[in-house]
This record gives sequence, C-alpha cells and structure tokens, in this order.
Amino acid sequence: MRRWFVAMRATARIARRDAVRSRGRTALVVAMVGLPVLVASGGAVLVQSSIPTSERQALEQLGDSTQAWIVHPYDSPVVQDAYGLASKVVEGVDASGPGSAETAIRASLPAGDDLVAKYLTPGAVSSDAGVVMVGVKSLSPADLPRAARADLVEGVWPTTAGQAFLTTSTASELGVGVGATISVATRTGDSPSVLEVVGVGAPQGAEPGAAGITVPLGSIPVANTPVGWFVVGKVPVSWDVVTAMNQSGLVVTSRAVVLEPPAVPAVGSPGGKPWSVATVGLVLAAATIGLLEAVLIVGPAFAIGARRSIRQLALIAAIGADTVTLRRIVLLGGVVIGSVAAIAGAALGIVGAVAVRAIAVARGSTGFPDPRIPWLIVVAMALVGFFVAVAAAWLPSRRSGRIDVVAALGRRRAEASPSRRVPIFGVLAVTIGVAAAVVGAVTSRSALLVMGVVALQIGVVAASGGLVTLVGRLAPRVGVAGRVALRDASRQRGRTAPAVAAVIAAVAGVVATGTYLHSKEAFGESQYVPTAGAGTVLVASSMVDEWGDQVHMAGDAEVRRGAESVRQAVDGVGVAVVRAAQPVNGGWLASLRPPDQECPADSSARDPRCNNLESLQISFNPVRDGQYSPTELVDEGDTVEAIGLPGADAAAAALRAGKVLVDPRALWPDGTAHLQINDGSIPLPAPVVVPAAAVKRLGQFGTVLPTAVADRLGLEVDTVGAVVTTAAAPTDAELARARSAVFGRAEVFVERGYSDDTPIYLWVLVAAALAIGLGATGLAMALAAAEFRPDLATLAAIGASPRMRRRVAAAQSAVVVVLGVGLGTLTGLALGWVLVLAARADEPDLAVAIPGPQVLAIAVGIPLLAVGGSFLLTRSHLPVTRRLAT
Amino acid sequence: MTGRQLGPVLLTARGVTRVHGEGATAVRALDGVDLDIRLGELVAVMGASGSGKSTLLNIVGGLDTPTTGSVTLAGDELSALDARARARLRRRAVGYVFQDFNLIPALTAAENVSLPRELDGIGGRTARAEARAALREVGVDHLADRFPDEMSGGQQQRVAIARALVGPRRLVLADEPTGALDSTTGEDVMRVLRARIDAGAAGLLVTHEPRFAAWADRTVFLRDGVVVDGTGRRLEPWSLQAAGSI
Repeated sequence: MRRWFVAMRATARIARRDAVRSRGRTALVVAMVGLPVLVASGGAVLVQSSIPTSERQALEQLGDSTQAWIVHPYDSPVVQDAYGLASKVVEGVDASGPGSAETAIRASLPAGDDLVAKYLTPGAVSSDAGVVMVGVKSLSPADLPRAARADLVEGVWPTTAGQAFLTTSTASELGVGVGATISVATRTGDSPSVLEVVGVGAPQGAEPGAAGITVPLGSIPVANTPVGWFVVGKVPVSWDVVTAMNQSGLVVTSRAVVLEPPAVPAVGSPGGKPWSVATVGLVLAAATIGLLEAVLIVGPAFAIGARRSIRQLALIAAIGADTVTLRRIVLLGGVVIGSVAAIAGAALGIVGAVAVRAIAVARGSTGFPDPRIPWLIVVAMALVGFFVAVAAAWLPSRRSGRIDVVAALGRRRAEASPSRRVPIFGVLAVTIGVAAAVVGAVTSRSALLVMGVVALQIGVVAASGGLVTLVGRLAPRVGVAGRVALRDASRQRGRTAPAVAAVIAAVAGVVATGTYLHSKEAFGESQYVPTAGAGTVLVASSMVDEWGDQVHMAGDAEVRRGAESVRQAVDGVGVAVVRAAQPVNGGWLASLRPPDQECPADSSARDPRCNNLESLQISFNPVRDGQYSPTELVDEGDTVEAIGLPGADAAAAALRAGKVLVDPRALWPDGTAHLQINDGSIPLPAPVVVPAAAVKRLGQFGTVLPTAVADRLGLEVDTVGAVVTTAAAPTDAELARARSAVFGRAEVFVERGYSDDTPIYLWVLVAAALAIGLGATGLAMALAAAEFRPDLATLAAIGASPRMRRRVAAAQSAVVVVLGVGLGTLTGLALGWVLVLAARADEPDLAVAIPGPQVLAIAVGIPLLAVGGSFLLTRSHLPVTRRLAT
Repeated sequence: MTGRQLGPVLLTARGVTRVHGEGATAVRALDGVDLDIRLGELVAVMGASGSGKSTLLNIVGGLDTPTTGSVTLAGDELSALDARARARLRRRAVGYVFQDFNLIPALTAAENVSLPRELDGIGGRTARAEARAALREVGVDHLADRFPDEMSGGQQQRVAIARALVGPRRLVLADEPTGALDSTTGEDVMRVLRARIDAGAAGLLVTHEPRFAAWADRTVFLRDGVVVDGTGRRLEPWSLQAAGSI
C-alpha cells in the first residue's frame, strides 16, 4: 500500500505540474467544467437565500415587542413545529380544557403576560388620491403600540376609535400624512368609516414597503372572532406552555421557543405531487444525456493534452513506468483539473451569489432575507463537475496506456492502431440503444430508457472513428487539399475522433433538446383555444369582486356603457355585446349526439367521440345564486363576427339563416341539432330539433343559438359581456385605463393569441451549439496545424501555392465538422424522438415536431463558420521555425 | 582503454533478431546479434543510419522484444517477463540516456532523477537522498531544484546520466548522448559517463563519432542488423571480444 501511495504521489506530481505548465489547456477545461458549477452553485445559493428561514418568518410574525402569536385553526388537539409554521391535528382526540379559545389561552398563559386580540378586516381605504385595498388591523388602544409590530416614524399612536396608523408605503400610496382624513369601506355594507391619520411608521421585520393600516378597536366594524392573539408582557412563553395550548387546538409562535427551538419531530405538510414514472425517466434521460455530452465536449481537451504529452509518457515508460502508471498520469490530470474547476466554480458561485445578494439588499431589495448556502446542492454540483472532468480524461488515459513507446521515442507515430472492433461495437450499441430507448419510453421503464439513451450516444461516438476511416477512402477522388485532409483525419484518428465526438455531443444535445421543446410548444399551440381573434378585447361582466362576492354589471344598457368606455380606452373599432342563455329553472342545455357519435362502451381512451363537446368556458359565465352555470351563447351573427376567429363569417351567415352552431360531433346527418334542456326533471323534456351548422373551435363557444331558438326553448337570456374589436392589440397602458374604467364592475382582458418563449430558448441553444461546435473544431484544428507544419513545408517546397495551406486547413475543418454535425443532427433527432415518446406517457397526443430553422442553422451554420473560419484565420505563409540552442 | 578490471557479465544477448513488418514488406532490423556486457565495461555500438543500433538498445532495455533470440539482464531472461515485469526491470536495473536529454519538463532535476525510484515505491525521502547522491556523482547536485529548461544541454545530459544510474541501476543505455552537444560539452559528458561506469556500472553507447566511441572499452559495428568487424565482415560470436579492440 505504501509503495502504491509513493508511486501515486510521483504520478500526481507530474499531472499537477503538467496542468500548471499547459495553462491554456488547463484554463479552457477549468472554464468548461467550472462555469456550469459556478452558475449552478450561485443559483442554488440565491434561490435558497430568497426563502426566508423558519426563524425569520416566525420573528417577523412577532415583531419586536410581543412574546407570542397564537391562532386557533382547529377544534382538536394539534402537534406543531417549534416555529408555529406547521401543525397538524391529532386524529381521534377531542380538544380538552376550557371552552373558548381565549379562555384556553388564558388558562395556560404565564403569569404577568397579557393577551391582545387582533382583528383583521379587508377594507377599501380611500383618500383624495386614490383607493387602496388592504387588510385593516384592529387592536385594543392600550396595547396597540406593542402589538402593531411597527415603529412610529411620525405622529403618535392611535388612542381612541376614529384614529388610524398607516405604514409609510400605504400613506405614500394614498398621498396622505399625519392629520389627513381617510375613509375605510368594509364588506359589511355599512357606510365607510372616516378616520384621522395620527401616526405613520415602518413595519418591523417585514418588507419595508409592506402595506398596512392599524386602528383601535371600534374604529371600523370587525368580525366576532379575532384572527389571533398576541401575548405581550415580560415572561417568555415556554415550549411546555405551547404544548399545553396545543391540546386546545391552538398553534403558537413563541419568541423564546423560536430563539431556542427544542428538538421536536418535523411536522411536515404533505409534499408536492410525486413525479410520474414517465417524468422520472425523462429527467433521468435528460440528465444522463447532459452529463454524457459534457464529458464528450470536455474530452478533446484531455485527448489533445495526452497526445501532446505522448513523448513524455514514452520517456516515463523508458524510465520504468508500466501501462497503469501512464494511464494514471493522464487520469490524474483530470482529477487535478476537475478538482480545481469544481472547487473554484463552487467557491466563486457562492462568493458571487453572496455578493449579488449583498448588492440587492443594499439597494433595498427584500427578496433575499438571509444569506443561506445549500451545502448539499453545492457539493453535489462540485462533484458533478469533478466527475465530468475525470470521466473526460478516462478515454485519453486508456489510449495513453497503449502508446508505442519505441515509436514515440523515435518521434514516429506512436498511437496504437485503432481497433476494428470499436466501430462494430458502436453500430451494435446504436441499434441496441435505439431499441432499448424506444421500449423504455413506450413502456415508461426509466432504467431501460436511460440505458438506451446512453448506449445510443456512446454508440454513435464509437462508430464515428470508423466513419472517419471510411471517409478517408474517398481521398483519391478529391483534390489535393481534400485528399490531404481526409488522409490526415483517418490516419490521425486520435486527434480527429475526439473533436468529431465533441461536435456530435454538442449538436446532438441541442437538436434533442430543441426537438423536445419544439414538440411541446407545437403541442401546446395545437391545444390552445383562443377566445377571440388576436388583439380583440373581451369585457366580462361576471367577476369576483374585491370582497370575494360575485357581482356583474346588470342589464344590457350598463354592459354597453361599460364596453363603450373600454372601447374608448383601448381605441377600439367596434363593440358587440355577448348574450348568454340558460334554462329558467337551472340545469343546462345539452346538444345530443347522433348515435354514431356516441362514446362506445368499449372505447379506447383516445377515441375522439369520448371527449366532451366544446362548451362555453368560464370567461363569460353569468352567476346564478353564487354559482357558475353552463350557458350557451345567443347571437344573430354580430358577436361571432366581432370575435373574429377563422370561420366567423360562415358562422355568422348560418346564425342569420336561423341555424344553431354546434360542435361537429353534435350535428346530425340531416343537418339538425337535437337540443334538450336538462333541468333534473324526470322524464326529461323531449329534444327540440332545429336546423344547425357545424362549427369547430369557434373560440370557447360550443353552441350558439339564434334568439328565436333560445325563445323557442324557453331559455332566459342575459347580457354577460362584450367584445371590443381593435385595429391593433392594445398596449398595457391602454388596458390599464380600460380596467380602471370598469373597475369593480367587469373584468377586461385581451386575447393575444398563443405565445411561448420556446423559440428564444431554441436560438439560445443554437448559439450554444455554435460556440461548442466551433470550439471543438478549433481545438482539433490548432493541434492539426501544429502537427501538420512539416508536411506543409514539404508541400511548399515542391511548389504548392500559399493558398494551399488555407485550403488544407479548411478541408481539415470540413472533415471534422461535417461528420460531427451530420452524425450529431441524426443522433439529436433520434434522442429528441425518444424523449417525446417518453413524454407521451403523460401527454398521449404529443407528436414529434422538428424545429426546422434551428436545425438548419446548426446543420449549415456550424460547417460554414468552421470551414470559413479555418480558411480565413490560417496564415498562408509558414512562420519561420525557431531553432533551439543547445 | 585496455587492462581494466571487469566484473561479472551483466547483460547477455544471444541470436537476437528483430523483424519489423511481414511478408514482402518485412525488414530485418537485427539479425542474430550476440553480445555480452560486463560490469565496469562500456561498449560502443557504431553503424550507419538504419543499421539497427537503436533497435538493439530498445531490445536490451526491454522496451522492445526480439523476434527470436534471448536477452538476459542481471539474471532475468527478458522474453520470459511480461510488460509489467519488464517495466519493473527498467526501474531497477536499466537507465536510458537519449540524444535530446529527455528530462521530464514538469519535474526538477532531483525529481527527474528520483522518479524511477518513486515509481518503484521507494519513499520520497529515500528517493530524494538517492537522487541527490546520483546528482553529486555527476557534479550537478547544485542544480537539483532547477527545471530542465533552466539548465544547459550538458547539464541536462549529466542529470540524465544520474537518472540512468540512480539507486540499484547498473546498466546505462545511451543513444547518441552527445549528439545534441558541442564537442567540449560532449567530451565532458563522456568523461562523466565513463566515471560512472568505472564506479561499478555497465554501459552500451550508441554513437556515430569515433572520438566518443574511444571512451568505450570496445566497439561493436552494426551493418544491416548484423555485427561486423571494422572491414564489414560478419563476426561469429566467439570473435566478438576481439572485434571490440580498435
């Protein structure tokens, strides 16, 4: 063991010194590995820092002057965490102790402390400058300064009913200060309370900009039960007191307990929905592809480093190193560089994130309450970076163990001849990988999917070396530059193959990700049902008001007035009202399907006949008795025209001809619709047969009735909103003005059509592929240029023109990049197809959609840039070779 | 260089033949070479380019293997050893000195010299002490902490000789060790090499130049892979010792 350690130390020293001596290569690999670690670590720190700690949340709840905050959410005994943030009922046990919550609290309250009940009432606080919706806190006047959880900045604390304390942000928003008068309207329907502002201050602990208004009890109407109680006094509330109160269903946040939390079991709220098998498979496959590609992209740097060190390795072999030692030297290079990259990336990520947080906090941001470092994630990211570097060095290290020492010492070609079995293995791996990935994706077997994806990618890379050799056979058929480049590529596979692999990896990853994202985007777009033509403004009179009550503009005239004010605000072209009908006695209107459109009993889940008919969505639903009801649209053609979706003209014409518009599956062969009111009566009334026309995807409106048919069915018709047509989509400012115009009476929204940021991400991916692809090609070309210099000198000596050097360089790039991009694109499409297949377990209708422009940009852009760049950046004249002095 | 007291035979080569390639493209680099080298003896090998000098050096050092024939080094038959055992033999018994010095650029002079010992599992302190001693014997111990690119060619070659004979190593295989040096420095290096051989080692020196071959106890001429005398006649094994005296 000791001998092994000594030998290991010697090889590690060589690897470390080599890394230091080859600064450029080392810096490149450190950047390639370290940057993702930096970004991931920094991001993790920022995300973690944006989540307040339990202690902070609890102390913010308490402010600076209270001992505890108590709420009474349950009537049964509870168990809670130390911070009072999580609790759960103890099943099967009744609450013990005194009757009311306040009585129960007082029974356990430490002697010397007192309770302050807090009432919270939603209120519309108005001044001459505007209206602010805010929760108004009511506290007893005597305890208000201790329980207001704010620091007085100006004025005094309210002492009697009719006075108010405002936070600085609320005061600023209302444009008022000490001495001003405000009115507070609550949902009770009573006339607003008029209050005098006597104090303004800053909230404790919470966001400096938090809105708030605190008034003495009696200033405004309050509910019978307080939302909670503050404990004020000098005696801390101990954990024993907390658990005693828990027996009465009380949940307590105690300052003393928060500052010295007891070791109690976590009271977890149930976690999020567990991932489906398909999602797990997808995530694993994506992570595996990502890791594999990172390894392949970093690999050429190590391969080229090992190739440059080949004579040194031969020398060490001559000294007495065996194969294992040679391999170890190269692999330890990966360990050294990977360690540096991982540690530096993680450290800089942490430092950077802490600095960003500090700057944000200094600028007033409250988004990062505490600097927190998720060490587990940071260490995991660093380990991933380390693993990538070591794995990238593994293959070059294997090759280094097979060098021909005698040839290397004699400065001849020293790399072992490539094995013929490798390309055969590659083809087999591709075949097996595709089969396994498809089976894994279709059957939602994550392990099989991941193994298939890995085998596919490795197989393509393994086969690429053989393809390089095959392509080399084309050499006799092309010109001098191409011939030289093809022969050079096939004879120097140790240099060519890693570069081709890196380009394959970069392109395959981007094409696979792009294909998956584009397929999801295309699916989302196909599923999107627009409410109206793009840019059309919709005014829905039914809505939930600021108190949570259902209200709507009543009557056709009021809707028309509101819609007109919206039209003016958005500079609209015209207005059409939306009318909806529903049975007088409740229930709904059903469009009966013809027998051949009924869902068969033995149908498959994907039979379209078993899908619901398109029906009116929530946007325009009027409210009956506080509940939404399904309704149908009533129109003579004007409204569907105004909605402006494709087919609107034909739909309007059909309505004007007295026909009902129905879902195609509800259209009977004789061109009629069978409408039946389903109001729960038994038997149901007989269907009414009316002439009909099919309309598919007319926005969210499934069935549209002419007024005459609605009357014939005895439906009640209400005006529920309006459509405002526009020449152009309104701006945000116009929309804000429109919403102000009907504030509290209707909701305004604009149909902007389907939008998705995916194309932006796709182009970012293309840019990444360009950068990595060109980088890998450039790396290989730089080494090729250095190795090829004597041959170019020979070419020059026998009369080749200076342009020949450029043409050879361009041809060498072309070999690498065309092979890499070609194979990478095919692999990426295959991987993308597999990912889409895997995702189909959750979304059966997801189809493969290839992002054509992006794939074309990669397939054409990378070769053009690489070949052009090689031609232009290569010097046409050879530099004078430096003579080394002895 | 006659009349020197020689020790026991350290290296024995019998009927060594090395053929590169197959069939019509086969090249016979060595053809039935016999050679003995004793401790305290420096044998020079001369011959034109392609005569098989370097191949002979590689085979006796265990870097290459003969097609036929045998090489015995310090009692070990090389063809009976696997690659790992031959590597171990190079660490413990054989050292190379090349024309262009070939020190590991990332290591200091002392680290270069101690490397074979450390690869052999000898502890750092012992290996460093042995390296210092080896450097002292070739007169460059004051350069122990310098990197190769901070030394002249002659200094680098002295370090290479020290590395070739550090610790228990007793056979130095020198391939044109003076080829990249000026004549004065070359003489200086040969003097050091001769001194180390005289101190109890053995050496095989490949050179083109008779004046450096003159430092050897005897000279072997190779032509097309065959040992010949000064006139180009093939020598039989029993006459090798005689052919060495020129």
